[in-house]
Amino acid sequence: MQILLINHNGGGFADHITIPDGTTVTKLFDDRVGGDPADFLIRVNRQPVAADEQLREGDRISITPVRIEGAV
Amino acid sequence: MIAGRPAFLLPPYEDMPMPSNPFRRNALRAALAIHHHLHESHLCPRSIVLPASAWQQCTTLAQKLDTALRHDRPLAAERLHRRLQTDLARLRSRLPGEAPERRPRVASAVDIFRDLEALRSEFPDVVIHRRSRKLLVTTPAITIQHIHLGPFQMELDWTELPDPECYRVTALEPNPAGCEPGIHHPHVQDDRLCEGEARPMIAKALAQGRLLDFFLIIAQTLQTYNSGSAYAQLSEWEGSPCIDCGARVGEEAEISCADCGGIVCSECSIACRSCDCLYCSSCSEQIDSCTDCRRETCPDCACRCTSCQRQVCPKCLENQLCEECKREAQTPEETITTDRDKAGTTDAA
Repeated sequence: MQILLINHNGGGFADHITIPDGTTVTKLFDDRVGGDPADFLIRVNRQPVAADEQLREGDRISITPVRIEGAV
Repeated sequence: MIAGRPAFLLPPYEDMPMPSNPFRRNALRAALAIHHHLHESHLCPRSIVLPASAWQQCTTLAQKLDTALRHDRPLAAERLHRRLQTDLARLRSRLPGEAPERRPRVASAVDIFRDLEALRSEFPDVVIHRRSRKLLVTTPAITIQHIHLGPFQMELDWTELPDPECYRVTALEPNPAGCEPGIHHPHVQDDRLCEGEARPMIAKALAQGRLLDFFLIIAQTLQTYNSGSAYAQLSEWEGSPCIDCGARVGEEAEISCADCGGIVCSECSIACRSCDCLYCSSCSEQIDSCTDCRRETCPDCACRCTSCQRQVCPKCLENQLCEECKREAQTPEETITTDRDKAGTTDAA
């Protein structure tokens, strides 16, 4: 199935990707980003969701780091 | 209005029911306007926008630095030099590069509408000013390392999209840095966020009209402290710098110069020994030592001997005379009296 993944970790790209049916939020995060999910704001269709939430066709997932360092 | 018709009557929105909730109604109209603006801005070749305001800022700081150096104010010069370096780095980063090869994919009006709705569940206050074409989103109160910085308002002017400088960040309950009174956040100066890592994310979010992502990125950047690159260090936030030595002075230890009002630390302050008023080093130049006891005396306390006109402190002045003149005034009478006494005694004998 196809979903829209907006990955702000490392620059931020937004693209449609194909993932297997039944993929959970955690599985997608581990495959595409890695690390501790607590270090990210993860939103599915603009809402916070449980880690074991199964993704559906057309979902929009955004992953934004909690720590983003500003700099002069 | 687009092509003479209200935007929400145009395909594919003509079947979309107008929401009854005022915010949602406003959000829908704003989403249509934002989408139209973004779409048009990406169709037309964009003019090159030079960072004129950043250049002007650097020019002003350079002039102030020159003034501080000419008037021999090293502390002020050091602060201005640091700020100028920072602003020059920002200016360099704002210089336009090559135009992007591909037009970015712009979010649909429906996506933008959903972003505006979702903002209300992420932030305590969201205001859509359609007349001024601005979105005002307020963060929760921000506290970093026990320093309370308060909430910040993120203001986006959608007519400036997708220009990376289309937004401002303003402290709503300012708690300025003691070392730099104009700084309300370690990474915000003059309502401009120094984006650092956030810059490419912000640029892409603005170019594509992903407004929820944009505001979340800004908010997370405001919540993060990068001590290696800040306009003011949190460790120096509380208290004020001594105008003489630059040391941090806590609020409870602040001494205000009796003349200029500047904050000075206890080590640098100089006291008048008569009235106990405290002065900074510059203003203490008017303090003289009493010519008799050598104690520091301010102009308000200093007295003049009516005989020799020397300046003395109040304690050393008696009957309008200094110690020396008082002694001189007393000595001849004693000598005469003694001689007379001696003469009287001799005659008696």
